[in-house]
Amino acid sequence: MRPLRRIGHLAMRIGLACVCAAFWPHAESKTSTSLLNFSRDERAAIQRHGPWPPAASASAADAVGHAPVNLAAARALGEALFFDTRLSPSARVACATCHQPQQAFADGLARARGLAELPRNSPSLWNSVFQRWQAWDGGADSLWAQAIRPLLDEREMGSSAAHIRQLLIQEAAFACRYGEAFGYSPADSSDEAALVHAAQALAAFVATLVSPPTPFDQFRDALARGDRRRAARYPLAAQQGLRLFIGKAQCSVCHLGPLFSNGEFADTGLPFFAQPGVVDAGRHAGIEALRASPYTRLSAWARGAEATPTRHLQLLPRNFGEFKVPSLRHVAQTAPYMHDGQLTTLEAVIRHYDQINLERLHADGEQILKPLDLSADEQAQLLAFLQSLSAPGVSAWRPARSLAPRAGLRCAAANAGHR
Amino acid sequence: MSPRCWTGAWRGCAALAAAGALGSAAAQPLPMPNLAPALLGARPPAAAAGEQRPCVALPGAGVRRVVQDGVTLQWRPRPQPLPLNQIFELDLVLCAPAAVLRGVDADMPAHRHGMNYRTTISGGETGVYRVQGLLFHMPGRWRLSFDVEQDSRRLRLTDSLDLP
Repeated sequence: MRPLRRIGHLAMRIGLACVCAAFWPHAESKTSTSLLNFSRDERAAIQRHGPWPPAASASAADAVGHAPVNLAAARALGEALFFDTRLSPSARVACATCHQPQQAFADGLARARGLAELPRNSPSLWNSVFQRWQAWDGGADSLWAQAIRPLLDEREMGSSAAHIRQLLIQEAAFACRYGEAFGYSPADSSDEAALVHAAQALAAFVATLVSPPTPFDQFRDALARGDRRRAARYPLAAQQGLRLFIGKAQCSVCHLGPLFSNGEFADTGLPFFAQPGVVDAGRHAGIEALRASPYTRLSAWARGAEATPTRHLQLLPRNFGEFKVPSLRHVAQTAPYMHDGQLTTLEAVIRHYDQINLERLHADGEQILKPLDLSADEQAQLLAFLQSLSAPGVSAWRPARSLAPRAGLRCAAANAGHR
Repeated sequence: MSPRCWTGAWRGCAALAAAGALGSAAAQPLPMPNLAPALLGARPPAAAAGEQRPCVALPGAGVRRVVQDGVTLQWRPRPQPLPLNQIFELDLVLCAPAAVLRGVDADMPAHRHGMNYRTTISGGETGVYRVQGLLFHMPGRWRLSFDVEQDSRRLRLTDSLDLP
Protein backbone atom coordinates (compact mmCIF):
# COMPACT_ATOMS: atom_id res chain seq x y z
CA MET A 1 0.00 0.00 0.00
CA ARG A 2 1.30 3.45 -0.87
CA PRO A 3 2.17 5.66 2.13
CA LEU A 4 -0.42 8.31 1.22
CA ARG A 5 -3.15 5.78 0.81
CA ARG A 6 -2.11 4.19 4.11
CA ILE A 7 -2.33 7.59 5.81
CA GLY A 8 -5.72 8.06 4.22
CA HIS A 9 -6.94 4.76 5.55
CA LEU A 10 -5.55 5.56 8.98
CA ALA A 11 -7.25 8.95 9.00
CA MET A 12 -10.50 7.34 7.97
CA ARG A 13 -10.19 4.80 10.77
CA ILE A 14 -9.47 7.49 13.34
CA GLY A 15 -12.39 9.47 12.02
CA LEU A 16 -14.69 6.48 12.34
CA ALA A 17 -13.44 5.85 15.87
CA CYS A 18 -14.21 9.46 16.77
CA VAL A 19 -17.68 9.17 15.30
CA CYS A 20 -18.27 5.97 17.27
CA ALA A 21 -17.06 7.56 20.49
CA ALA A 22 -19.26 10.59 19.89
CA PHE A 23 -22.46 8.71 19.10
CA TRP A 24 -21.96 5.59 21.21
CA PRO A 25 -20.23 6.80 24.34
CA HIS A 26 -20.65 3.42 26.02
CA ALA A 27 -19.31 1.40 23.14
CA GLU A 28 -16.24 -0.50 24.17
CA SER A 29 -13.17 -1.09 22.15
CA LYS A 30 -12.01 -4.59 22.95
CA THR A 31 -8.77 -4.11 21.09
CA SER A 32 -7.48 -0.90 22.61
CA THR A 33 -8.39 -1.51 26.25
CA SER A 34 -9.78 -4.25 28.45
CA LEU A 35 -11.87 -1.86 30.52
CA LEU A 36 -15.47 -1.43 29.47
CA ASN A 37 -16.79 2.09 29.35
CA PHE A 38 -19.30 1.70 32.17
CA SER A 39 -21.97 4.37 32.32
CA ARG A 40 -22.44 6.56 35.37
CA ASP A 41 -25.44 4.50 36.50
CA GLU A 42 -23.51 1.28 36.02
CA ARG A 43 -20.61 2.60 38.05
CA ALA A 44 -22.97 3.60 40.84
CA ALA A 45 -24.54 0.14 40.75
CA ILE A 46 -21.12 -1.50 40.89
CA GLN A 47 -20.11 0.63 43.86
CA ARG A 48 -23.15 -0.54 45.79
CA HIS A 49 -21.64 -4.05 45.88
CA GLY A 50 -18.90 -2.86 48.22
CA PRO A 51 -16.79 -2.06 50.07
CA TRP A 52 -15.66 -5.46 51.24
CA PRO A 53 -15.41 -6.44 54.00
CA PRO A 54 -18.11 -4.15 55.34
CA ALA A 55 -17.02 -1.54 57.84
CA ALA A 56 -16.50 -2.93 61.33
CA SER A 57 -19.79 -3.21 63.13
CA ALA A 58 -21.27 -4.85 66.16
CA SER A 59 -21.55 -8.11 64.20
CA ALA A 60 -19.34 -10.18 66.49
CA ALA A 61 -21.11 -9.04 69.66
CA ASP A 62 -24.41 -9.47 67.87
CA ALA A 63 -23.52 -13.03 66.87
CA VAL A 64 -23.24 -14.05 70.50
CA GLY A 65 -26.40 -12.27 71.57
CA HIS A 66 -24.58 -9.49 73.38
CA ALA A 67 -23.73 -11.93 76.16
CA PRO A 68 -21.22 -10.60 78.70
CA VAL A 69 -18.44 -12.56 77.12
CA ASN A 70 -14.69 -12.59 76.58
CA LEU A 71 -14.89 -12.87 72.80
CA ALA A 72 -11.37 -14.22 72.31
CA ALA A 73 -11.96 -17.06 74.75
CA ALA A 74 -15.41 -17.70 73.30
CA ARG A 75 -13.92 -17.94 69.80
CA ALA A 76 -11.27 -20.39 70.99
CA LEU A 77 -13.88 -22.55 72.67
CA GLY A 78 -16.18 -22.28 69.67
CA GLU A 79 -13.50 -23.32 67.22
CA ALA A 80 -12.60 -26.35 69.33
CA LEU A 81 -16.26 -27.34 69.68
CA PHE A 82 -16.89 -26.85 65.97
CA PHE A 83 -14.59 -29.72 65.05
CA ASP A 84 -15.42 -32.02 67.96
CA THR A 85 -17.73 -34.96 67.24
CA ARG A 86 -18.35 -35.43 70.95
CA LEU A 87 -20.94 -32.66 70.81
CA SER A 88 -23.15 -35.37 69.35
CA PRO A 89 -23.87 -38.29 71.72
CA SER A 90 -23.17 -40.53 68.73
CA ALA A 91 -19.61 -39.10 68.55
CA ARG A 92 -19.99 -39.41 64.77
CA VAL A 93 -21.04 -35.91 63.74
CA ALA A 94 -19.49 -32.50 64.33
CA CYS A 95 -20.48 -29.10 62.98
CA ALA A 96 -17.57 -29.57 60.59
CA THR A 97 -19.19 -32.68 59.13
CA CYS A 98 -21.52 -30.48 57.10
CA HIS A 99 -19.39 -27.34 57.18
CA GLN A 100 -15.95 -28.42 56.04
CA PRO A 101 -13.26 -25.75 55.73
CA GLN A 102 -11.92 -27.17 52.46
CA GLN A 103 -15.45 -27.07 51.01
CA ALA A 104 -15.93 -23.38 51.84
CA PHE A 105 -17.59 -24.47 55.09
CA ALA A 106 -20.26 -26.37 53.16
CA ASP A 107 -19.99 -30.09 52.30
CA GLY A 108 -20.19 -30.47 48.54
CA LEU A 109 -23.27 -32.68 48.84
CA ALA A 110 -26.66 -31.96 47.35
CA ARG A 111 -28.36 -32.58 50.68
CA ALA A 112 -26.73 -32.40 54.08
CA ARG A 113 -25.98 -35.65 55.86
CA GLY A 114 -25.80 -35.62 59.64
CA LEU A 115 -27.13 -38.59 61.58
CA ALA A 116 -29.66 -38.81 58.74
CA GLU A 117 -30.08 -37.17 55.36
CA LEU A 118 -31.69 -33.75 55.51
CA PRO A 119 -33.92 -32.16 52.89
CA ARG A 120 -31.66 -29.17 52.32
CA ASN A 121 -28.21 -28.28 51.08
CA SER A 122 -25.59 -27.27 53.68
CA PRO A 123 -25.06 -23.53 53.28
CA SER A 124 -21.56 -22.12 53.43
CA LEU A 125 -20.80 -20.40 56.71
CA TRP A 126 -18.54 -17.77 55.20
CA ASN A 127 -19.91 -14.28 55.93
CA SER A 128 -22.99 -15.67 57.66
CA VAL A 129 -22.37 -13.15 60.44
CA PHE A 130 -23.73 -10.50 58.08
CA GLN A 131 -27.02 -12.31 57.46
CA ARG A 132 -30.24 -11.02 59.00
CA TRP A 133 -31.75 -14.51 59.01
CA GLN A 134 -29.85 -17.77 59.22
CA ALA A 135 -30.33 -20.96 57.18
CA TRP A 136 -32.41 -21.52 54.06
CA ASP A 137 -35.65 -20.95 55.94
CA GLY A 138 -34.44 -18.11 58.14
CA GLY A 139 -35.60 -20.04 61.17
CA ALA A 140 -33.03 -18.33 63.39
CA ASP A 141 -32.45 -14.61 63.79
CA SER A 142 -28.82 -14.77 64.96
CA LEU A 143 -25.77 -16.98 64.65
CA TRP A 144 -25.97 -18.20 68.24
CA ALA A 145 -29.63 -19.14 67.88
CA GLN A 146 -28.88 -20.94 64.62
CA ALA A 147 -26.09 -22.95 66.27
CA ILE A 148 -28.62 -24.49 68.65
CA ARG A 149 -30.78 -25.91 65.86
CA PRO A 150 -28.39 -28.57 64.47
CA LEU A 151 -27.17 -29.43 67.97
CA LEU A 152 -30.66 -30.48 69.04
CA ASP A 153 -32.06 -31.74 65.73
CA GLU A 154 -32.26 -35.54 65.80
CA ARG A 155 -31.42 -35.74 62.11
CA GLU A 156 -28.29 -33.62 62.52
CA MET A 157 -26.35 -34.02 65.78
CA GLY A 158 -29.07 -35.37 68.06
CA SER A 159 -27.60 -33.76 71.14
CA SER A 160 -29.15 -32.31 74.28
CA ALA A 161 -28.42 -29.50 76.70
CA ALA A 162 -27.51 -32.02 79.42
CA HIS A 163 -25.08 -33.88 77.14
CA ILE A 164 -23.36 -30.66 76.09
CA ARG A 165 -23.00 -29.47 79.68
CA GLN A 166 -21.43 -32.78 80.69
CA LEU A 167 -18.94 -32.57 77.83
CA LEU A 168 -18.02 -29.01 78.83
CA ILE A 169 -17.46 -30.12 82.41
CA GLN A 170 -15.50 -33.30 81.61
CA GLU A 171 -13.11 -31.86 79.02
CA ALA A 172 -10.71 -29.66 81.00
CA ALA A 173 -9.74 -27.49 78.06
CA PHE A 174 -13.40 -26.77 77.30
CA ALA A 175 -14.20 -26.02 80.93
CA CYS A 176 -11.27 -23.65 81.13
CA ARG A 177 -12.20 -21.74 77.99
CA TYR A 178 -15.81 -21.66 79.06
CA GLY A 179 -14.85 -20.09 82.37
CA GLU A 180 -12.68 -17.52 80.63
CA ALA A 181 -15.41 -16.71 78.16
CA PHE A 182 -18.47 -16.52 80.39
CA GLY A 183 -17.08 -15.87 83.85
CA TYR A 184 -18.27 -19.03 85.54
CA SER A 185 -17.75 -22.74 85.05
CA PRO A 186 -20.02 -25.14 83.16
CA ALA A 187 -20.49 -26.97 86.46
CA ASP A 188 -22.11 -23.79 87.79
CA SER A 189 -24.32 -23.48 84.71
CA SER A 190 -27.74 -24.92 84.15
CA ASP A 191 -28.08 -27.33 81.26
CA GLU A 192 -29.82 -24.65 79.24
CA ALA A 193 -27.17 -22.02 80.02
CA ALA A 194 -24.45 -24.46 78.97
CA LEU A 195 -26.30 -25.12 75.70
CA VAL A 196 -26.74 -21.41 74.98
CA HIS A 197 -23.14 -20.58 75.87
CA ALA A 198 -21.83 -23.42 73.72
CA ALA A 199 -23.92 -22.00 70.87
CA GLN A 200 -22.63 -18.50 71.58
CA ALA A 201 -19.07 -19.81 71.49
CA LEU A 202 -19.75 -21.52 68.17
CA ALA A 203 -21.25 -18.27 66.89
CA ALA A 204 -18.24 -16.29 68.06
CA PHE A 205 -16.05 -18.60 65.97
CA VAL A 206 -18.31 -18.59 62.90
CA ALA A 207 -18.42 -14.78 63.09
CA THR A 208 -14.68 -14.78 62.30
CA LEU A 209 -15.34 -16.37 58.89
CA VAL A 210 -15.28 -13.21 56.84
CA SER A 211 -13.93 -13.96 53.39
CA PRO A 212 -11.05 -11.96 51.92
CA PRO A 213 -11.50 -9.50 49.03
CA THR A 214 -12.09 -11.01 45.61
CA PRO A 215 -11.01 -10.00 42.10
CA PHE A 216 -14.36 -8.24 41.83
CA ASP A 217 -13.64 -6.22 44.98
CA GLN A 218 -10.26 -5.20 43.61
CA PHE A 219 -11.94 -4.09 40.38
CA ARG A 220 -14.65 -2.19 42.22
CA ASP A 221 -12.16 -0.41 44.45
CA ALA A 222 -9.96 0.47 41.47
CA LEU A 223 -12.98 1.99 39.71
CA ALA A 224 -13.83 3.95 42.86
CA ARG A 225 -10.40 5.58 42.99
CA GLY A 226 -10.23 6.11 39.24
CA ASP A 227 -7.41 3.64 38.72
CA ARG A 228 -8.27 2.53 35.20
CA ARG A 229 -5.05 0.62 34.78
CA ARG A 230 -5.71 -1.54 37.82
CA ALA A 231 -9.38 -1.92 36.91
CA ALA A 232 -8.42 -3.12 33.42
CA ARG A 233 -6.77 -6.19 34.95
CA TYR A 234 -10.23 -7.53 35.74
CA PRO A 235 -11.03 -10.02 32.96
CA LEU A 236 -13.10 -8.57 30.16
CA ALA A 237 -15.55 -11.47 30.26
CA ALA A 238 -16.15 -10.80 33.97
CA GLN A 239 -16.78 -7.12 33.22
CA GLN A 240 -19.29 -8.08 30.55
CA GLY A 241 -20.89 -10.52 32.97
CA LEU A 242 -21.04 -7.80 35.63
CA ARG A 243 -22.81 -5.53 33.16
CA LEU A 244 -25.39 -8.28 32.61
CA PHE A 245 -25.66 -8.92 36.35
CA ILE A 246 -26.58 -5.32 37.17
CA GLY A 247 -28.43 -4.72 33.91
CA LYS A 248 -30.20 -7.02 31.49
CA ALA A 249 -30.29 -10.06 33.78
CA GLN A 250 -31.36 -7.99 36.84
CA CYS A 251 -29.64 -10.39 39.22
CA SER A 252 -28.78 -7.50 41.54
CA VAL A 253 -32.44 -6.86 42.33
CA CYS A 254 -32.18 -9.69 44.87
CA HIS A 255 -28.44 -10.33 44.98
CA LEU A 256 -27.66 -6.82 46.12
CA GLY A 257 -25.13 -5.04 48.28
CA PRO A 258 -21.67 -6.14 49.39
CA LEU A 259 -22.98 -9.57 50.35
CA PHE A 260 -24.69 -10.07 46.96
CA SER A 261 -27.87 -10.95 48.82
CA ASN A 262 -30.73 -8.98 50.31
CA GLY A 263 -30.97 -11.65 52.99
CA GLU A 264 -34.67 -12.15 52.31
CA PHE A 265 -36.57 -15.00 50.67
CA ALA A 266 -37.89 -15.84 47.24
CA ASP A 267 -39.68 -18.45 45.20
CA THR A 268 -37.39 -19.09 42.24
CA GLY A 269 -39.60 -21.52 40.39
CA LEU A 270 -37.85 -24.68 41.53
CA PRO A 271 -39.65 -27.76 42.79
CA PHE A 272 -39.57 -27.84 46.58
CA PHE A 273 -40.34 -31.40 47.46
CA ALA A 274 -38.36 -32.62 50.45
CA GLN A 275 -39.18 -36.16 49.28
CA PRO A 276 -41.85 -37.54 46.96
CA GLY A 277 -45.19 -36.23 48.16
CA VAL A 278 -43.70 -34.12 50.97
CA VAL A 279 -43.33 -30.41 50.43
CA ASP A 280 -40.63 -28.30 52.07
CA ALA A 281 -42.52 -25.23 53.27
CA GLY A 282 -39.32 -23.17 53.34
CA ARG A 283 -39.68 -19.67 54.77
CA HIS A 284 -43.20 -20.34 56.00
CA ALA A 285 -41.93 -23.11 58.27
CA GLY A 286 -38.91 -21.01 59.18
CA ILE A 287 -41.05 -18.18 60.53
CA GLU A 288 -43.18 -20.63 62.46
CA ALA A 289 -40.05 -22.23 63.94
CA LEU A 290 -38.67 -18.83 64.84
CA ARG A 291 -41.85 -17.82 66.60
CA ALA A 292 -41.92 -21.07 68.56
CA SER A 293 -38.27 -20.89 69.56
CA PRO A 294 -37.18 -19.79 73.04
CA TYR A 295 -33.88 -18.75 71.48
CA THR A 296 -34.38 -15.53 69.55
CA ARG A 297 -33.38 -11.90 69.79
CA LEU A 298 -36.57 -11.35 71.76
CA SER A 299 -35.55 -13.83 74.44
CA ALA A 300 -33.82 -13.13 77.73
CA TRP A 301 -30.67 -14.71 76.24
CA ALA A 302 -30.22 -11.77 73.91
CA ARG A 303 -30.57 -8.72 76.07
CA GLY A 304 -29.63 -5.57 74.23
CA ALA A 305 -29.66 -7.21 70.80
CA GLU A 306 -31.30 -5.35 67.94
CA ALA A 307 -34.60 -7.18 67.53
CA THR A 308 -36.63 -4.90 65.29
CA PRO A 309 -36.79 -7.30 62.30
CA THR A 310 -37.81 -10.19 64.55
CA ARG A 311 -40.47 -8.10 66.26
CA HIS A 312 -41.98 -6.90 62.99
CA LEU A 313 -41.70 -10.06 60.93
CA GLN A 314 -44.96 -11.18 59.37
CA LEU A 315 -46.04 -14.59 58.16
CA LEU A 316 -47.49 -14.47 54.66
CA PRO A 317 -49.06 -17.15 52.44
CA ARG A 318 -46.45 -16.42 49.80
CA ASN A 319 -43.70 -17.49 52.22
CA PHE A 320 -44.65 -21.07 51.42
CA GLY A 321 -41.89 -22.50 49.24
CA GLU A 322 -39.67 -19.45 49.55
CA PHE A 323 -36.01 -19.92 50.41
CA LYS A 324 -33.28 -17.49 51.29
CA VAL A 325 -31.55 -15.51 48.59
CA PRO A 326 -28.01 -16.82 49.13
CA SER A 327 -24.91 -14.70 49.13
CA LEU A 328 -22.93 -15.08 45.91
CA ARG A 329 -19.53 -14.52 47.49
CA HIS A 330 -17.33 -17.53 46.70
CA VAL A 331 -20.33 -19.09 44.95
CA ALA A 332 -18.05 -21.00 42.57
CA GLN A 333 -16.78 -23.01 45.55
CA THR A 334 -20.15 -24.07 46.97
CA ALA A 335 -21.66 -26.44 44.40
CA PRO A 336 -24.22 -27.95 44.23
CA TYR A 337 -26.74 -25.15 44.29
CA MET A 338 -30.18 -24.02 45.44
CA HIS A 339 -31.89 -24.96 48.71
CA ASP A 340 -31.70 -28.70 48.08
CA GLY A 341 -28.69 -28.90 45.79
CA GLN A 342 -30.81 -29.86 42.80
CA LEU A 343 -28.63 -27.88 40.37
CA THR A 344 -25.14 -29.29 40.19
CA THR A 345 -23.22 -26.50 38.48
CA LEU A 346 -23.25 -22.73 38.14
CA GLU A 347 -23.92 -23.20 34.44
CA ALA A 348 -27.08 -25.07 35.37
CA VAL A 349 -28.13 -22.23 37.69
CA ILE A 350 -27.67 -19.71 34.90
CA ARG A 351 -29.67 -21.93 32.53
CA HIS A 352 -32.42 -22.19 35.15
CA TYR A 353 -32.85 -18.42 35.28
CA ASP A 354 -32.32 -18.12 31.54
CA GLN A 355 -35.27 -20.38 30.75
CA ILE A 356 -37.23 -20.12 33.97
CA ASN A 357 -40.51 -21.98 34.06
CA LEU A 358 -43.03 -19.30 34.96
CA GLU A 359 -45.74 -21.87 35.55
CA ARG A 360 -43.84 -23.12 38.57
CA LEU A 361 -43.92 -19.69 40.21
CA HIS A 362 -46.77 -18.82 42.55
CA ALA A 363 -49.71 -17.51 40.55
CA ASP A 364 -49.76 -14.43 42.78
CA GLY A 365 -46.02 -14.41 43.15
CA GLU A 366 -43.42 -11.86 42.32
CA GLN A 367 -43.25 -10.55 38.80
CA ILE A 368 -39.51 -10.24 38.81
CA LEU A 369 -38.36 -13.48 37.31
CA LYS A 370 -38.72 -13.80 33.57
CA PRO A 371 -36.78 -15.89 31.06
CA LEU A 372 -33.55 -14.02 30.32
CA ASP A 373 -32.93 -15.49 26.87
CA LEU A 374 -29.19 -14.94 27.12
CA SER A 375 -26.92 -15.97 24.29
CA ALA A 376 -24.28 -18.61 24.88
CA ASP A 377 -21.66 -15.84 25.04
CA GLU A 378 -23.68 -13.93 27.60
CA GLN A 379 -24.11 -17.01 29.75
CA ALA A 380 -20.35 -17.53 29.65
CA GLN A 381 -19.81 -13.90 30.64
CA LEU A 382 -22.19 -14.17 33.56
CA LEU A 383 -20.35 -17.29 34.65
CA ALA A 384 -17.01 -15.47 34.43
CA PHE A 385 -18.38 -12.72 36.65
CA LEU A 386 -19.72 -15.17 39.24
CA GLN A 387 -16.37 -16.92 39.31
CA SER A 388 -14.70 -13.60 40.07
CA LEU A 389 -16.62 -13.43 43.37
CA SER A 390 -14.34 -16.01 44.92
CA ALA A 391 -11.16 -15.38 46.85
CA PRO A 392 -8.40 -18.01 46.95
CA GLY A 393 -8.14 -17.68 50.73
CA VAL A 394 -11.57 -19.18 51.22
CA SER A 395 -10.41 -22.72 50.50
CA ALA A 396 -7.08 -22.22 52.27
CA TRP A 397 -8.57 -21.68 55.72
CA ARG A 398 -6.56 -23.20 58.55
CA PRO A 399 -7.24 -23.32 62.29
CA ALA A 400 -5.53 -20.60 64.30
CA ARG A 401 -2.29 -21.81 65.86
CA SER A 402 -3.20 -20.52 69.31
CA LEU A 403 -6.22 -22.79 69.34
CA ALA A 404 -4.30 -26.05 69.27
CA PRO A 405 -5.09 -28.47 72.12
CA ARG A 406 -1.91 -27.51 74.00
CA ALA A 407 -3.18 -23.97 74.32
CA GLY A 408 -6.26 -25.35 76.01
CA LEU A 409 -4.10 -27.28 78.44
CA ARG A 410 -2.12 -24.15 79.24
CA CYS A 411 -5.40 -22.41 79.93
CA ALA A 412 -6.37 -25.16 82.38
CA ALA A 413 -2.96 -25.04 84.07
CA ALA A 414 -3.07 -21.26 84.43
CA ASN A 415 -6.52 -21.37 85.95
CA ALA A 416 -5.43 -24.06 88.39
CA GLY A 417 -2.59 -21.81 89.48
CA HIS A 418 -4.99 -19.01 90.32
CA ARG A 419 -7.11 -21.09 92.64
CA MET B 1 -43.20 33.10 59.96
CA SER B 2 -43.97 30.26 62.22
CA PRO B 3 -44.38 27.03 60.29
CA ARG B 4 -47.37 26.08 62.36
CA CYS B 5 -50.80 25.61 61.08
CA TRP B 6 -53.95 24.90 62.98
CA THR B 7 -56.41 22.17 62.38
CA GLY B 8 -59.28 24.64 62.59
CA ALA B 9 -57.84 26.37 59.57
CA TRP B 10 -56.18 23.41 58.00
CA ARG B 11 -56.78 24.59 54.45
CA GLY B 12 -54.18 27.15 55.27
CA CYS B 13 -51.96 24.34 56.38
CA ALA B 14 -52.35 22.69 53.01
CA ALA B 15 -51.55 25.97 51.34
CA LEU B 16 -48.43 26.28 53.42
CA ALA B 17 -47.47 22.78 52.50
CA ALA B 18 -48.04 23.48 48.82
CA ALA B 19 -45.89 26.57 49.08
CA GLY B 20 -43.12 24.59 50.69
CA ALA B 21 -43.21 26.65 53.85
CA LEU B 22 -43.46 23.63 56.06
CA GLY B 23 -40.28 22.19 54.68
CA SER B 24 -38.38 25.34 55.52
CA ALA B 25 -39.23 25.09 59.17
CA ALA B 26 -36.46 25.87 61.55
CA ALA B 27 -35.11 22.76 63.13
CA GLN B 28 -36.78 22.14 66.45
CA PRO B 29 -36.68 19.09 68.64
CA LEU B 30 -39.74 17.07 67.74
CA PRO B 31 -41.58 15.47 70.62
CA MET B 32 -41.51 11.81 69.68
CA PRO B 33 -42.15 9.72 72.75
CA ASN B 34 -41.72 5.98 72.61
CA LEU B 35 -45.19 4.91 73.55
CA ALA B 36 -46.36 1.46 74.47
CA PRO B 37 -47.83 -0.65 71.66
CA ALA B 38 -51.12 -0.60 73.59
CA LEU B 39 -51.52 2.99 72.49
CA LEU B 40 -51.15 2.18 68.83
CA GLY B 41 -54.02 3.47 66.85
CA ALA B 42 -55.55 5.11 69.88
CA ARG B 43 -57.59 8.14 69.08
CA PRO B 44 -55.70 11.18 70.27
CA PRO B 45 -57.68 12.94 72.97
CA ALA B 46 -57.11 16.32 71.43
CA ALA B 47 -58.38 15.16 68.07
CA ALA B 48 -62.06 15.16 68.87
CA ALA B 49 -64.29 16.63 66.20
CA GLY B 50 -64.35 20.36 66.15
CA GLU B 51 -61.48 20.68 68.57
CA GLN B 52 -58.40 22.52 67.51
CA ARG B 53 -54.95 21.18 68.01
CA PRO B 54 -51.64 22.39 66.71
CA CYS B 55 -50.26 20.81 63.57
CA VAL B 56 -46.53 20.73 63.81
CA ALA B 57 -44.23 20.74 60.85
CA LEU B 58 -41.56 18.11 60.57
CA PRO B 59 -38.27 19.93 60.74
CA GLY B 60 -35.16 19.26 58.73
CA ALA B 61 -34.50 17.81 55.32
CA GLY B 62 -36.00 14.82 53.59
CA VAL B 63 -39.60 15.62 54.52
CA ARG B 64 -42.22 14.46 52.01
CA ARG B 65 -45.83 15.59 51.90
CA VAL B 66 -48.97 13.96 50.71
CA VAL B 67 -52.10 16.06 50.26
CA GLN B 68 -55.17 14.04 49.43
CA ASP B 69 -58.90 14.18 50.20
CA GLY B 70 -58.51 17.05 52.60
CA VAL B 71 -55.74 15.46 54.62
CA THR B 72 -52.15 16.62 54.70
CA LEU B 73 -49.56 14.15 55.82
CA GLN B 74 -45.86 14.68 56.20
CA TRP B 75 -43.35 11.91 56.64
CA ARG B 76 -39.64 11.59 56.94
CA PRO B 77 -37.51 8.42 57.14
CA ARG B 78 -35.01 7.63 59.84
CA PRO B 79 -32.20 7.21 59.02
CA GLN B 80 -31.81 9.45 56.00
CA PRO B 81 -31.59 8.90 53.15
CA LEU B 82 -34.05 6.06 53.23
CA PRO B 83 -31.82 2.96 53.28
CA LEU B 84 -32.15 -0.06 51.01
CA ASN B 85 -32.45 -3.40 52.76
CA GLN B 86 -32.23 -1.99 56.29
CA ILE B 87 -34.88 -1.47 58.90
CA PHE B 88 -36.01 2.14 59.08
CA GLU B 89 -38.64 4.26 60.79
CA LEU B 90 -40.84 7.14 59.82
CA ASP B 91 -41.58 10.33 61.67
CA LEU B 92 -45.05 11.27 60.54
CA VAL B 93 -47.38 14.19 61.08
CA LEU B 94 -51.04 14.08 60.23
CA CYS B 95 -52.49 17.50 59.68
CA ALA B 96 -56.26 17.31 59.58
CA PRO B 97 -59.04 17.71 62.09
CA ALA B 98 -59.90 14.54 63.95
CA ALA B 99 -57.79 12.37 61.67
CA VAL B 100 -56.15 9.27 63.09
CA LEU B 101 -53.43 7.17 61.50
CA ARG B 102 -54.60 3.54 61.47
CA GLY B 103 -51.96 1.76 59.44
CA VAL B 104 -48.85 2.09 57.29
CA ASP B 105 -47.72 -0.41 54.71
CA ALA B 106 -45.67 -0.49 51.53
CA ASP B 107 -45.52 -2.51 48.35
CA MET B 108 -43.84 -2.73 44.95
CA PRO B 109 -46.72 -2.62 42.45
CA ALA B 110 -44.53 -3.68 39.55
CA HIS B 111 -43.39 -6.78 41.42
CA ARG B 112 -46.73 -7.46 43.07
CA HIS B 113 -45.29 -7.92 46.51
CA GLY B 114 -45.12 -5.96 49.71
CA MET B 115 -42.78 -5.87 52.64
CA ASN B 116 -41.91 -8.90 54.71
CA TYR B 117 -42.48 -6.86 57.86
CA ARG B 118 -45.51 -5.38 59.57
CA THR B 119 -45.28 -1.86 60.89
CA THR B 120 -46.27 -0.60 64.32
CA ILE B 121 -47.43 2.90 65.08
CA SER B 122 -46.91 4.87 68.26
CA GLY B 123 -47.70 8.40 69.35
CA GLY B 124 -50.55 10.35 67.82
CA GLU B 125 -51.56 12.58 70.71
CA THR B 126 -50.64 15.73 68.82
CA GLY B 127 -50.92 14.29 65.36
CA VAL B 128 -47.28 13.26 65.55
CA TYR B 129 -46.51 9.57 65.02
CA ARG B 130 -43.58 7.23 64.86
CA VAL B 131 -43.87 4.26 62.50
CA GLN B 132 -41.47 1.38 63.07
CA GLY B 133 -40.62 -1.84 61.29
CA LEU B 134 -40.23 -0.86 57.64
CA LEU B 135 -37.71 -2.56 55.38
CA PHE B 136 -37.48 -2.19 51.60
CA HIS B 137 -35.59 -5.28 50.49
CA MET B 138 -35.29 -4.48 46.79
CA PRO B 139 -34.35 -1.49 44.68
CA GLY B 140 -37.09 -0.01 42.52
CA ARG B 141 -40.39 1.80 42.99
CA TRP B 142 -42.01 1.43 46.39
CA ARG B 143 -45.46 2.72 47.23
CA LEU B 144 -46.16 3.72 50.82
CA SER B 145 -49.79 3.49 51.92
CA PHE B 146 -51.13 5.45 54.88
CA ASP B 147 -54.52 4.40 56.21
CA VAL B 148 -56.23 7.34 57.86
CA GLU B 149 -59.57 7.49 59.61
CA GLN B 150 -61.36 10.78 59.64
CA ASP B 151 -64.94 11.35 60.70
CA SER B 152 -65.75 7.64 60.36
CA ARG B 153 -64.42 7.43 56.82
CA ARG B 154 -61.31 5.56 55.84
CA LEU B 155 -58.84 7.13 53.48
CA ARG B 156 -55.76 5.64 51.93
CA LEU B 157 -53.06 8.15 51.14
CA THR B 158 -50.16 6.96 49.02
CA ASP B 159 -46.73 8.19 48.16
CA SER B 160 -44.22 6.54 45.83
CA LEU B 161 -40.49 6.73 45.66
CA ASP B 162 -37.69 5.10 43.72
CA LEU B 163 -34.84 3.39 45.53
CA PRO B 164 -31.61 2.98 43.53
